[in-house]
Amino acid sequence: MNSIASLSKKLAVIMGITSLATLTSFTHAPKAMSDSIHVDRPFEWTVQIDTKQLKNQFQYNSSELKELVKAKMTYYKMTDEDNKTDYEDLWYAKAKTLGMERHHKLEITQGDAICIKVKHIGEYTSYDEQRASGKAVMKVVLDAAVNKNMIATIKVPMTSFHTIAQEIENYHFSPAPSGSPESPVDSDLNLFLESEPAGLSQSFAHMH
Amino acid sequence: MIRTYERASRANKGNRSNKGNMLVLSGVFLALLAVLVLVACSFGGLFFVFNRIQTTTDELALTGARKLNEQDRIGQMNNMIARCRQLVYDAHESHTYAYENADHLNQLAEQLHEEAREGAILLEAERQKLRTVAVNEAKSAIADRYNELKEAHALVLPWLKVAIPTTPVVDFGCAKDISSNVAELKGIDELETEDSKLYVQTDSHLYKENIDAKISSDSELHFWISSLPAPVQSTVAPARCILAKQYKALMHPDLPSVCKVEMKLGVDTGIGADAHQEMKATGIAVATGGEKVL
Repeated sequence: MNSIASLSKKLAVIMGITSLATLTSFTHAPKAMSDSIHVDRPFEWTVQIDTKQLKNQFQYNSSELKELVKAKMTYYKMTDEDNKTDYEDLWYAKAKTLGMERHHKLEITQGDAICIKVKHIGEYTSYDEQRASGKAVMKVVLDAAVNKNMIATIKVPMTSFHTIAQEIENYHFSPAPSGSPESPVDSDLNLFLESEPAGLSQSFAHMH
Repeated sequence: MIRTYERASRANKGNRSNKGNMLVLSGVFLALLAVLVLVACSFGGLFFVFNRIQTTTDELALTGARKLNEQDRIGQMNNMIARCRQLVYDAHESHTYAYENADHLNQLAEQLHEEAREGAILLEAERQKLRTVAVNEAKSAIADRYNELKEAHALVLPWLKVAIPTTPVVDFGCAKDISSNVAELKGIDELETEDSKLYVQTDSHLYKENIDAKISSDSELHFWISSLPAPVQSTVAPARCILAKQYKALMHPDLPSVCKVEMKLGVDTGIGADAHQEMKATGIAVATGGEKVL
């Protein structure tokens, strides 16, 4: 009897510990296991792309350049958002790249990771402006890669997410399979696109 | 002595008439005066007519010049061409780097380079379209204004008849010694060095006028930057008349920045024999200036 009682006590303690451990593991589950597929991707710098539809440009009969979009690019250290450096301005017409004006070199430490952030200035964002944003993102991707910086993440407005995703695909980037964002993909250049506010995300892998 | 004078006086009295000639002299004098006044009026009238036709021609030239760079379309085109050039250059450099050093970036760099080139081709096509549109709109504006003003010139006086001026002959060109409105672009050291040697004026740091600012690495693409007055201390230059010696006909497929108007006017003067002559007036005006930046 005494041995059965002591065995029961031991079993109860073990059960309690196991339950406690199980409860703890559920409340502190790694983020990758939660419903939203969000993984913290640390970065040191942010390259911000502000897009804006310009008015009263190239006003002449049958002009193809009236709907001009300007993408203003600045960069700043994550810890110093108030100290932005003007990088480049890009101009687009009907999603065709027209011009660039560089204000400053991309003086980001080689090896540092970058977050690309897209913002639309103005109440309404046209489809051409969304496409122009995607093209500006790819320009930054190339410039960063040449400068030996990794792109940690690309944050875009939710309203433009799908158009920008489509634009990325136009540059021979294929969406990575969903459900397992951490599964290895044989690729030399990977991008992670997420929306702001959070809710949509997609990984891309560059295919030759 | 007095007796000698009296004898001579009595002798002369026998040969002289007592009738006076002041009336005749006065009449001749007045007639001459009237002729002179009429001649002066005629010359004055001719001078007045010439002034009017010259003013009208200047006004027509200004009307056309203002239309050329309406809403700064030529200025914007100049600025965008310079920025397109920088884009193509940068894309080419990135592509070259990727090709030589980073094979995994080559496809992306090549695609961005190709897009930049397509943008340059599109821009050149639009520049040529703008040239045609600007010229046609300027001619149309001049024709409309001419139709409003031509009737006011007709004049019929006894000694002067002025006809309606002929349809104006319009030409387009540029002004000598007026550079482009585009401020030198910096940001890419190699391109800046090339520009300072070939395409940028050292004193004003503006791109030179009427140049094809080709990139050495891509000679197939054209980057025509045209003459247009730049702003002075952020004030855009208004359209204004210039002297004939400042006018230069367009030698290249540039965007015009100067409008030249010529008109003729038939004048008949009726002093003595009828005299007919044709007055010719030329008005030349430079377009409204452009902005330095986009």
